[in-house]
Amino acid sequence: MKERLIKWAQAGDGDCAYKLARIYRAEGDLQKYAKWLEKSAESKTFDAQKEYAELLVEKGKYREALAIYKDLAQTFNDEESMERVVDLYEQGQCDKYTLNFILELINKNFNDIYLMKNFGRVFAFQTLRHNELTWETLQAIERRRIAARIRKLLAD
Amino acid sequence: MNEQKLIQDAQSGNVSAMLELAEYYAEKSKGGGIDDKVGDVISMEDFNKMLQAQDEDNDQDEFKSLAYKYYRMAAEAGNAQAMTEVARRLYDGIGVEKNESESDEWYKRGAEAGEPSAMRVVAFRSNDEVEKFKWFKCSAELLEPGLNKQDSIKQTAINYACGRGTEKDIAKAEEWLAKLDEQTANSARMEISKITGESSWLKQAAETSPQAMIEMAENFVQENDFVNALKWYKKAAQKGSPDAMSLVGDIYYVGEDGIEQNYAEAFYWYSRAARRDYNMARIKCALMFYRGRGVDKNLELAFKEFDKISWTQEKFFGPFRFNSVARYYAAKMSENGEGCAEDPAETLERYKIAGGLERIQPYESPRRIPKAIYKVADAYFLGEGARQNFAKARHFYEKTFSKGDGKTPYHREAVKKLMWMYELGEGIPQNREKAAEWRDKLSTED
Repeated sequence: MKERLIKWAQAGDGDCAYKLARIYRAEGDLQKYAKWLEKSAESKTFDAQKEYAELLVEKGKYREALAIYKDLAQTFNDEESMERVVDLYEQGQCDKYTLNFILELINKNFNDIYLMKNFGRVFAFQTLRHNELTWETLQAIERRRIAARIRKLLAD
Repeated sequence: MNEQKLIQDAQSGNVSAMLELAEYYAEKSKGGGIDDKVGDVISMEDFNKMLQAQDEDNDQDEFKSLAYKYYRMAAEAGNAQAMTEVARRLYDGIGVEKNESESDEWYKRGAEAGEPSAMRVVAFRSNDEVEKFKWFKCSAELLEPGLNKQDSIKQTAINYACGRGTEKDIAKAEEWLAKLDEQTANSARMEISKITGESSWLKQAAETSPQAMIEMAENFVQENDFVNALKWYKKAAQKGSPDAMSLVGDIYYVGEDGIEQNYAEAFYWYSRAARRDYNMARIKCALMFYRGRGVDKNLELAFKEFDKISWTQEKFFGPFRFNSVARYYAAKMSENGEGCAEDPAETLERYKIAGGLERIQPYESPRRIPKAIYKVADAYFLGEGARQNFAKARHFYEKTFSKGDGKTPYHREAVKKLMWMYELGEGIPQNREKAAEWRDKLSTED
């Protein structure tokens, strides 16, 4: 399998590059792990981008990491990336502009289900979209929490 | 019973014979009994047996036609109950060709002949407020005690309170409300408040009804007044509403304006709701254990809880509703060996169920979590938990694509994967044209 993954990853398949990186990490070859993780992140593989951003934070490359988090927050509404931006702000590694950007992103898009009144919510949950709504509700709560955290930080 | 004798009597104009025959044939037309089992938990084996029995029962249609024939004879002879049955069968196309306008006619005839259930149907279907009011009121007076009677009384009270189809008369509305049990009366008051915009009705209901208390709270949420919202949610929670308990938990979890964030308090409220089998709160509790918020991180407990929820029917949202979100988390934890031993085969099975690719109960509708379908595709692609199978991998990547909305990362990953599969042609025939098609899809979404 590894050979096949190498072949695919070398051809440019970012997902295979990420899978390969994980194999190297499990094997303890951290150099190859970092190499394939970077390649995969460059080809915009979602999981790889997040892991690579963490690696950049560890290396103190905050600006590059923030660029990735911002991209993921904007493209996929990814809460974990939003949260990491706030963490970095708390650590003094992120500016207010980026923090505001995340807050605006949350305020713009994600309050509908959270603010949906009980009558509508119960009705919506009885439809076939029940599971999607459970998912969306959990995400909305997380985003509200992040927004509240940002508002508090900005007020301080 | 002597079928021939009844037929003779019916032919000679005996209405009770017509009705008896109609009911006899209607009973015989029920067949395998699957319809009676909706809502029950039955085994797959029993379900298949019933399906087989239904298929084998070729006489069903004939019995349905005969039932309709005798109901129709009785209806034409002036029997109100038969008129209603004819109308219902015409509406649903049972034993006769579906005909909604003729069905409406028979319901009206049934209502005018004094059949209360027909009155309710006419009231619901009518666009004329006056007619609606008339038939709800008549059925409220004539129906035997039960849910339908309660509902007709409720509708009559609402119409009086809102002046719909009749003069607005609060005293009469109160009079009708007094005939209802407390819960139904409160739900009527909530509806009146919604229609008229008069908050006094809601406030009155909120004195005792948890639902109304939640409604009060949510009015404050809309105004961003979370302090008052919390007060009302807590009142409803004290009345035992698990929904309210979970919402109190949300406010503490989020730390809304004016409320100090408190994970421990959030966990307390979630767990109170969870103890009442409220699955949404159970998931929130499990997530708290998973993330170590408000409680010590405990992956074993989180996994156990997700696993348990996975196999529990949704009590609050109807039968055969299972929670794919819990299933997804259980699968994800199993994949990473969090709180349980790593087991690729079991992980694959869990993802299949979470992705709605396998049913547990015969009536369960698949609930698709695209992320889970992507994981199934991945498992076949890598040969983890199953034999490597590129054709299956391709099939499930395509499914992920078709179920995604373009905004989820896995939707995009599936497109990329398909592009590479066709590009490299390994496991499936190489096809550069198709690879280009998938590449185009990717750039269009970018």
